[in-house]
Amino acid sequence: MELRAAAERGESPPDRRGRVELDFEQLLLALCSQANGDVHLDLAELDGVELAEVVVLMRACDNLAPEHRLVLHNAPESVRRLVALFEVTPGPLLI
Amino acid sequence: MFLVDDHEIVRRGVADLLDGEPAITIVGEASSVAEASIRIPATEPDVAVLDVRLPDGSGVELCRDLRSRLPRLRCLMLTSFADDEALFDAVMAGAAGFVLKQVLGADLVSAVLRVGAGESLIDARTTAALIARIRRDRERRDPLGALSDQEKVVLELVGQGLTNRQIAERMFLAEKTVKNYVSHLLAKLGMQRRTQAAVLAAELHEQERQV
Repeated sequence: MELRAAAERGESPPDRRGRVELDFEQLLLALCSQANGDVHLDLAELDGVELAEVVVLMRACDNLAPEHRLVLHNAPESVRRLVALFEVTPGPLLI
Repeated sequence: MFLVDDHEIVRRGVADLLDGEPAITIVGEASSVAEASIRIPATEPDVAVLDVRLPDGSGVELCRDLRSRLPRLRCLMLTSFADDEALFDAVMAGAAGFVLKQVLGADLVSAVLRVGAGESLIDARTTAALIARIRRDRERRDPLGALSDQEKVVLELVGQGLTNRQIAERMFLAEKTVKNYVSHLLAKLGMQRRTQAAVLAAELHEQERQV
């Protein structure tokens, strides 16, 4: 992953026009891949969620080391239902 | 931990709050990038709490510089508002946490303890901004991602040059319903005119043909 490699080098990858391309999905994955422990996200102010965004959260779980968890605080009921559909082990911890 | 913020009142407030937590010891404070660059390596804290905006530079750049010199240092970024681009820069600079100054209280104590224990975190408002940004990114990559299935069919038929009446006959709908679909899809695509939607449909067809 270009962005992940760039993050490990402490820099942002330029796009073809030479400026930084902000891809926030990759950013979340990079945050998890460079974590040395659990990653906590507070969903208290989430304004609705779509399946595609829950898929991104599940992919973020895959980028964590096996001993670490994605911890979702204040997850709304819609997120809880969608996360349950995936039956991923270990999936995010909902608290 | 070490605290960097140019407002003394913020430093005092944070210090008072964290002083009550036995697991946290404040080893120093600084009000600028220049001061922090010298004092943090000298005091060797486990965690540096850094204001994103400092009078002589960026807290994010300070984080990047400190992490390159002190790889074991964990940086918790403090910011006044949920700025998704500052979050992006902070994560790229190796920050472990990103919290709004408004969380001052038990949540800040918990954030410092978590970052000190090697964990990472993003506060509620910034997480919401991050998820919204991911949604916008996806919609930008897929220009039709925001359209319903019916609206996609209508767009396809608009692209073929059909009138609302012809589309209504083709889809077994009332002409007024088709008119509503067209209005909605134009609004979702950020367009004003039907011909713009027709051009987009033609361009998407051309892209599909080239794949």
